[in-house]
Amino acid sequence: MKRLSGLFWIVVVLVAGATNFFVKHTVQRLDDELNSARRKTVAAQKQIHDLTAEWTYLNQPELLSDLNRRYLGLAPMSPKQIQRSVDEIPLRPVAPPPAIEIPIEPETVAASVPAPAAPVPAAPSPAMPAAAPSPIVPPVATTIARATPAPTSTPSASPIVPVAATIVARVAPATAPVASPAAPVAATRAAPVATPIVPVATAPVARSPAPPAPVTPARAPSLDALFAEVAAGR
Amino acid sequence: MLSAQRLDDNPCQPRHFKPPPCAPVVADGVAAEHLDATRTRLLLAIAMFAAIFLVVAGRLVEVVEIPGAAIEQRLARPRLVAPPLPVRADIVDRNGTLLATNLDSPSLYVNSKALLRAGEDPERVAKAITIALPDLSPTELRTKLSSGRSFAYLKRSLTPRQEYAVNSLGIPGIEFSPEERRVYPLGDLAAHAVGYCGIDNIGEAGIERGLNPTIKGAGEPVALALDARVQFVLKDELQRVVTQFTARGAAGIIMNAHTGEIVALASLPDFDPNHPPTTDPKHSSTEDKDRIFNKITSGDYEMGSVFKIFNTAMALDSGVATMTKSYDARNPIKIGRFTIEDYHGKHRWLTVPEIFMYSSNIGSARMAVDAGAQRQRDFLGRLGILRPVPIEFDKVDVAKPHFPAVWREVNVMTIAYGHGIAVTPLHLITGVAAIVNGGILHKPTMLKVKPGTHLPGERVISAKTSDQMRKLMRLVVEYGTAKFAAAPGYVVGGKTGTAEKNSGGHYQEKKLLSSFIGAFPMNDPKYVILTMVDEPHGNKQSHGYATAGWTVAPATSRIIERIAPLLGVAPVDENSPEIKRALQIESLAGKRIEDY
Repeated sequence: MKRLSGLFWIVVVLVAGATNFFVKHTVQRLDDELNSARRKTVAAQKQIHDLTAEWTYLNQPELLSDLNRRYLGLAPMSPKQIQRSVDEIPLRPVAPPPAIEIPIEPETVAASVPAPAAPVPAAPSPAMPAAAPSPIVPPVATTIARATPAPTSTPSASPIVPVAATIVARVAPATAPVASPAAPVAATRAAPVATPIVPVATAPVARSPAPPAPVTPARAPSLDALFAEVAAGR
Repeated sequence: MLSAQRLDDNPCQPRHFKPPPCAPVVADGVAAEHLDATRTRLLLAIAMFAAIFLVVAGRLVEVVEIPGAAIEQRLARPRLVAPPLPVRADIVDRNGTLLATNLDSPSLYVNSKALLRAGEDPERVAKAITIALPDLSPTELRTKLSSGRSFAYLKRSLTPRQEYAVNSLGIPGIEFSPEERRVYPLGDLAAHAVGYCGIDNIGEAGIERGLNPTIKGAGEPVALALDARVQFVLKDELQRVVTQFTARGAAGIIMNAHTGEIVALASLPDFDPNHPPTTDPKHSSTEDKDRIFNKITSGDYEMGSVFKIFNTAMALDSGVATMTKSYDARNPIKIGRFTIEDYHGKHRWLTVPEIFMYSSNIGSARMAVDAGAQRQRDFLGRLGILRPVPIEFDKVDVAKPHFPAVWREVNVMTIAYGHGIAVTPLHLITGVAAIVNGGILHKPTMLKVKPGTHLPGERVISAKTSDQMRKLMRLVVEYGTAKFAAAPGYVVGGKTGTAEKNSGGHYQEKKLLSSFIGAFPMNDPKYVILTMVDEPHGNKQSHGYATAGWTVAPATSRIIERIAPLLGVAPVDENSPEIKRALQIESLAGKRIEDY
């Protein structure tokens, strides 16, 4: 009995010691990790701070207005252009899931065509030749690009059309692959699920922005220039 | 005893020795007592140790298991890295745009001793450094590198990019000394509002000086009420006025009518706070002094006719005058050595709205005399015109108003139209904001007020008088001296003032201070705006006029058109019945209003 209890205590001490060692070790490791994360955070914060200063410097209203004068020629908004305040615009009568606006890129989208007023029935109408989904888009997220509107469609601009049904399917002849005969299957599957995923799906396909015109600002646009300005005052 | 033993074995090896059985010792008497005492002591000792261990165990539980106990704060955590607190907090505008910040700008120096000891070739090092920092001269570099001294600056204030470039060369003896610099990324945009900092990181003007202790102590950025975009528009248009009318300077201020927040504050000419002009009185030129002078808070001016707003409000609020009452404005008033005349006299009896609209000095003077000195003085005092404006600037930067110590009749008359009393533009706009916003005076502030905060303020005039004043100010823009200040859709109202500057005790006809103070939209003022130009000269476009109606009024119109969308003020149809009704003066209804 005595020897047994002795053994018991020895085991307890060993286990406690080992646990203590491992816990301590883990804590130390975590501490180091935390520290290095903090160091990185501080470094990143400093960098963000510097970049914010640079960004602000580059966004000096004076500089922007000068650039605008030379390259864009935008004029301040006149009261005539603001007809109504936002709250005066009536809301759509039906507002089911969140409305999704898809920015239309004029370069790539040849025609934007409204979808049918009612959700597409299980069997696709044969009148709809559908383009195959872009290869980048996973099959679940398929958006059907329609060449022509379904016969039953009403224009999506009409406020009575439920939002879910107004998802604009579009033809992107420049980037989307040519329509394939397998499309009707995709169409059936896609119709019910397309709603929330559309922007994700179309984004990679539709984007091919024209490169912005090269801009040569009056001043060297960088923090170095700011510092040069500052240093000049010494 | 021995005889009792059986010696059947080797006696040398008493293997089978067994002690003879004996009866247990029964303690008797004294022994029993001793034993008892010992047991009690033993128990005591055990209890004591147990208690101590319990305490230790309890403490362990407390330290390890209970989160957030007082003990946790006492635990030493010296190994954690914390971001260093900035020497001075950032200053940002109401939208978070940086107005002032501190940037690390280490200086580069060479420890030539170490460099040479490391066996570096100064020639080669100089070449490498000039590649990284092309603006350094190679010859100068070489002398510094090979000097053998342990310290010589190569370049002050390096950018992060330059620091990286030099650091990556990895040359021993080329070192950085950490330094911070106050940087104003937007340059001169808000120079007079933000102010600037000296080399020792002490604010020397504007908010940098006024809130120096706060900025030094706070880690959080200080958010100003200023809007950088609005500020730019104000400055841009004022600059245009200065150029157009070859003026000495200009100033402007835009204030939120309901909170007293200063959304924009400009004083031209201004300076770049990144390298401010010298303030040493012995060395700074007049031009430098002009640039560093903040007209809005440090300038004392006889503002002229814009004071008629106060005069009319005083007369209406005290009940001395009504909107239908008329005053004799046929002939100039002669009092002492002064003659009070009208600029474009109508030479007839004028009603209160007419006096205001045509900016009649004679009528205003008569109205003030009607009210009396005491009322006038009390009223101005209530509006805070007679003491320095309470604002977050240093006392040195805020001018005291100048007014007569003894308030005589002649003073009453001249003060009615803004002469004989000199106040800062900030006084004026603070007072006017109270008059148009429904009669509540708010302290002007440079700091952002949290949206939705209810500010108590102090009632200075009745809501009815405020309503009447709004109508009168709208009248001035519709028919009076400030027609060019109209910005269609924004229902601007206001009052012009063209004062002759007083120098050496007499007024100079050619040196004008033209100002316009207005508010928009006049049916429910959101913002009050003051623009003034110092010594403008008439040009062809203005038919030779340098008065406020021709100089700052058109600029104000442009400013309002540009800033209203930024400030979220929607344009309305000025001819809609609600607006018309809200700004209609009953006594003038149906009458043809004679243009100014």
